[in-house]
Amino acid sequence: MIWVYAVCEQPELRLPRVRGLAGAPLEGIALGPMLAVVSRHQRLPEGRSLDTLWLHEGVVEALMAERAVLPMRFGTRLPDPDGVRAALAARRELLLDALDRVRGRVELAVRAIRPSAGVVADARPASGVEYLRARLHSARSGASLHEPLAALAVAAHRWPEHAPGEVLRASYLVDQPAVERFRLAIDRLQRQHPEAALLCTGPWPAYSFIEGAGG
Amino acid sequence: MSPHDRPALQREVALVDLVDRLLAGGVVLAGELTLSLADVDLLYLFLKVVITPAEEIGLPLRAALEAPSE
Repeated sequence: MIWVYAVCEQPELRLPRVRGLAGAPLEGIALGPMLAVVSRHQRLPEGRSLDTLWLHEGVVEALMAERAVLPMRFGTRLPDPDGVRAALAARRELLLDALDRVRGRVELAVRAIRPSAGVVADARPASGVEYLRARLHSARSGASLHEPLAALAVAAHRWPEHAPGEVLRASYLVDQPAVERFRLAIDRLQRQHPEAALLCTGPWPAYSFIEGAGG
Repeated sequence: MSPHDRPALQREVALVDLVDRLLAGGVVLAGELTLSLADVDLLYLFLKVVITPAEEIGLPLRAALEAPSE
């Protein structure tokens, strides 16, 4: 069984010196200008532990340090190398387009949580109008955080907020040289919005910006 | 939230962001994925246990975890 971590470019580059799941060595399976980075396993590696997720992520990040990378969804596996090549061939144009889109860019994740907004939502508003007012207020504070960040990004994706109190949950695709500027913007927004906790994680591989490639 | 709660919270949020990305993002290259939906639920359940509530914003964060990921 073949576990796939990522599809990247420049098959001629040496693979990073990291191990895959269950300590398995990394291998590359090339098709034209693309390289699938995989490891072979007799049976399915244990997939539930968080360590496994970080291990998988570590491989993708090591690749990302040196070339454009498309991360696979965790759990992607194929029976054999021919299956991998066939999967690459079937999506060749989409994968190449996506590699172009993410080259030199990283994903930054931003969450904003406003504890008092959660209290408002939990407290069962007395009327529909009150409920709508609270929703509108929450949407506005989300937008006032999102817009200046999106302006610094090549692309942005905003998800519906998960929880009461969460006013923003978004990902930003940012040119690598602009990452520092983006972080400074987060700090500035945090100072302007002391009522919210802004949390930025990353740089991540571009997990959220590969829609066309079957994401 | 006191300033030194921030690094711990940052680590917890990174964990949630990691799970969000690995399980819901990325390229789906093949039809067969290792994790079933039930496994994903288990992971979120596990995350809830791992994450200790940070004061004040602990509750919304836990609620964020309890909500299913899309």
